[in-house]
Amino acid sequence: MSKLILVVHVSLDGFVAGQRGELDGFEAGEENLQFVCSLTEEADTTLFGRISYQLLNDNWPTARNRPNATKGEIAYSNWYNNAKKIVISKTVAKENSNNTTIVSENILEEIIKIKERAEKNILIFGSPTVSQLLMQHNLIDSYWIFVNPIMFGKGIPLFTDLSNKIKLKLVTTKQFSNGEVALNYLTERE
Amino acid sequence: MRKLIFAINVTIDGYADHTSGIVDDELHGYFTEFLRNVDIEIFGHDTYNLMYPYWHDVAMNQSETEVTNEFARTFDSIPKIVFSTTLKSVEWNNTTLLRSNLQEEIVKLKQQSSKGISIGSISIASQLTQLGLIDEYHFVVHPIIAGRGKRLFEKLENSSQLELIETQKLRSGVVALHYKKI
Repeated sequence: MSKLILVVHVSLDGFVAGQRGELDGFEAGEENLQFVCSLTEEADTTLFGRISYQLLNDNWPTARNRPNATKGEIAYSNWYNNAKKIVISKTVAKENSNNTTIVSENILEEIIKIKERAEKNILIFGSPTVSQLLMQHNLIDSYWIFVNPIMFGKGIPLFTDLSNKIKLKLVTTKQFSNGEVALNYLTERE
Repeated sequence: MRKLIFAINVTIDGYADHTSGIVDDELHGYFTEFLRNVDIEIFGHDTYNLMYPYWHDVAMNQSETEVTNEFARTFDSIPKIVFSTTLKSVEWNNTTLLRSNLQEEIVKLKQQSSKGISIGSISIASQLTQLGLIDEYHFVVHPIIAGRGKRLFEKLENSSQLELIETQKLRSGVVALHYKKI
């Protein structure tokens, strides 16, 4: 069965964005993007909440066509266009173009079905609300958490108001030249 | 100039609840090493009550493992300053109680030439981060999603960019991230 993997940037103090949703301070960079492309090679589906979908979908479908596009941008853009895109939203209009499916009800059941059907892994980018829902239902198998060398001080937390804490198992870490550290964890299941 | 250093256990989602971590000999060993570069420890009221009398008793009775006992002895012997307007008195050895002028006192201490100054309190660390006075940070990241509790920082006015110095992986899956102010 495919694995559901959360890929997310956080500040040192555990925020996925500043108070107004701004991402200032997260510098992805080419090295980081090429690394993410090593994760996308193993995945054929991507899943988002509405806001993350809109952010990514504004950029990635056409990023490969820009004259100054980097190797990583072209690779990621190609993957994005080919991947099955699942958007969890009650408000985004139904859209069948560009391999995109909108899921607005029976979210957990639908995701379990998608997970069973997918041949390769499923990546969730950002999407704190959806991630939290999936995590609480024990559906996330693995995490790549990119810890950025910045303290936001306040903002949108990665996770909030959980009823139980969750233990993870550290698999590996990767350090980037911009000071980012990516921590890879598996969900510990008993 | 002394360095002002904040070392704190956090979960991967940025909560600083001291009951959530994986506490073992390797972690105590990490903090013992950390304390060797420090000769003042700063507390607030809450951290003082959290640490005393517990660690003093371990230092006196040597009631834990060898590594943890060593941590307790090192911790116990470091001079401490407690900033509190509500504590009536402090009983821990080498401990001074101060009522006010956090910024002034810290600036004065930093001007001395000696080992580092460690901050043990989240609220004091928040205030000093705000003032741009902290030189280094050790975030000791535990492989746990706490999902609730006391956040590491709650209301800093501005974000602050740091520079990564080094990372250290412990066998428990804890990753210690060491940064300095830019």
